[in-house]
Amino acid sequence: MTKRFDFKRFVADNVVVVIFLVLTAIATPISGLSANYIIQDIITRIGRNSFLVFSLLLPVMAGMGLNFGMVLGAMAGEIGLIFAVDWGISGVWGLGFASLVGLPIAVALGWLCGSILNRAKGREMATGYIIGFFMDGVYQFAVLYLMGSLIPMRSLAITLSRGYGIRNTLNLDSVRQSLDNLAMVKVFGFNVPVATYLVVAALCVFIVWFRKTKLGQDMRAIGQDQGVSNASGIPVEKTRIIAIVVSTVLAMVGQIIFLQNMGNMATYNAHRQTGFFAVAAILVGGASVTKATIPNVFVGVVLLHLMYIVMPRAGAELFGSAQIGEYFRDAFSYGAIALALVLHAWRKRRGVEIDRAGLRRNTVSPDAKGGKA
Amino acid sequence: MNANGTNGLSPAVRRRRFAVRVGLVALYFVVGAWVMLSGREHTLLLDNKALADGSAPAFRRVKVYVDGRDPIELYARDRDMIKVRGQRHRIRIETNEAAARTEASFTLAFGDDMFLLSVPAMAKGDDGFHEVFRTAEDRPAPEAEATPEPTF
Repeated sequence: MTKRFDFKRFVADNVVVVIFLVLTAIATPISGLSANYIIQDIITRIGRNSFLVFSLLLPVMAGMGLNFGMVLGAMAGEIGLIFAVDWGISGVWGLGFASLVGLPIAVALGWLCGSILNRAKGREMATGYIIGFFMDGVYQFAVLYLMGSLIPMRSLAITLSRGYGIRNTLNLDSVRQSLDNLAMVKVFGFNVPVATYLVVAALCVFIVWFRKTKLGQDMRAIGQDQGVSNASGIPVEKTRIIAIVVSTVLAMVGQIIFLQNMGNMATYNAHRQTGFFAVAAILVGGASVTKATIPNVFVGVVLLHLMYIVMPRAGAELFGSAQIGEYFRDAFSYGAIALALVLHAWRKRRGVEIDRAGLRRNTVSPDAKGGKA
Repeated sequence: MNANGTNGLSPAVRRRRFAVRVGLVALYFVVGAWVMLSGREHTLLLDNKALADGSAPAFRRVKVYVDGRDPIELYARDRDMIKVRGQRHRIRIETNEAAARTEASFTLAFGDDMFLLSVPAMAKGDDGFHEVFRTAEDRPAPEAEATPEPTF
């Protein structure tokens, strides 16, 4: 049986994607940027950001919503990079070293976050967001006061002049674009960071494989119904913690990939917006709080960053100020998150109402039971 | 989990799991050490100045190859800087002037960032042709050591 394509339903289901498509379709010609420039920038940004966005998939699969607690992983990655720079480990080795240093920190923070989220079932997103703020304070204490005093630091170039604490901006020259430049290939005149894309592709393969494993199936079952999963013998709480731990570790690696591309690190701010941008990207890609797929990640990164590229220039062309374009950009990114959350709540409520109406009909109407009484 | 905390697993399975976990931790540290040693970056100052005791003059013109990279051309009293990764390296020089040795291997200490490598000393055949180089920033400030105690 073939289903008829329902345009209205398609738009209603993908309203966030459609809004972003329309916005960028309007803003792109106004910006006056060349296609070559936009494509090159998009290629760079896919490599830079998609790993971070992928870290959101597993918690969605486990029914924990969008993991705003991924900033914990980002902090772990930053601590790894601080030590890589301090010890003078450069190039791809430096990225590997940062990942190795960040790994136990990310696992510990992910376990802590997952344990807290297990005590806040049904409020995971808000709780994760607040855990991010809380851990930001702990991170600042560790980096601003403990590093250089309790935690020995070797390099005077990265410590504050008072002798302890890390400088506000960390120069990542020693690892700058080391992964991107490992295998930079020119394709149709565009520079493609093949090594970074291979890492992202490996992660895609891992996620596809992981979904088929016993643990992956358990996560999907928990995402659909925790009560039933628990009754069928799946260790719900442990599996949820594992989902958050894996997400935090992936966010740690994603932040390292992101920062090596940028080439410098705002020591105390770099992680703050990480969760917000990743969540905005995946939602713009058509994901919801309960369902997210690999194509959602790529569509979201392309659409969101297309808007980030063209909006400031479009603002400058239209209003004579790029700052207005920046305001638009921020407003629409936050708007995408808000709209997706509102739509999710609305659909959930509508689903409950439809179910309730169905139940009522079954009780009241004898016809609905399949025969007259 | 049952009362004795064994999770219903047989001793053989528990032993195997423990061994795998210990193996993973050991692997973590081995990989960490390998990455650290292989990725450690050092700054190498290539110096073409006559030795202080006058035993070896500076080369008028010399090409220096470090680890088979592109050559660095040095004239008399020149100094250039390169970054090298890892501890063991190889240096080769090309010159029309007399040199007792044109090729040598050397090892840099892991803990030091910057080294001064004297090309004339290397060409002369000295073993200690490279030494740790400390910048003014690295040296402890003398006044910091002699800070007087506050009197009030």
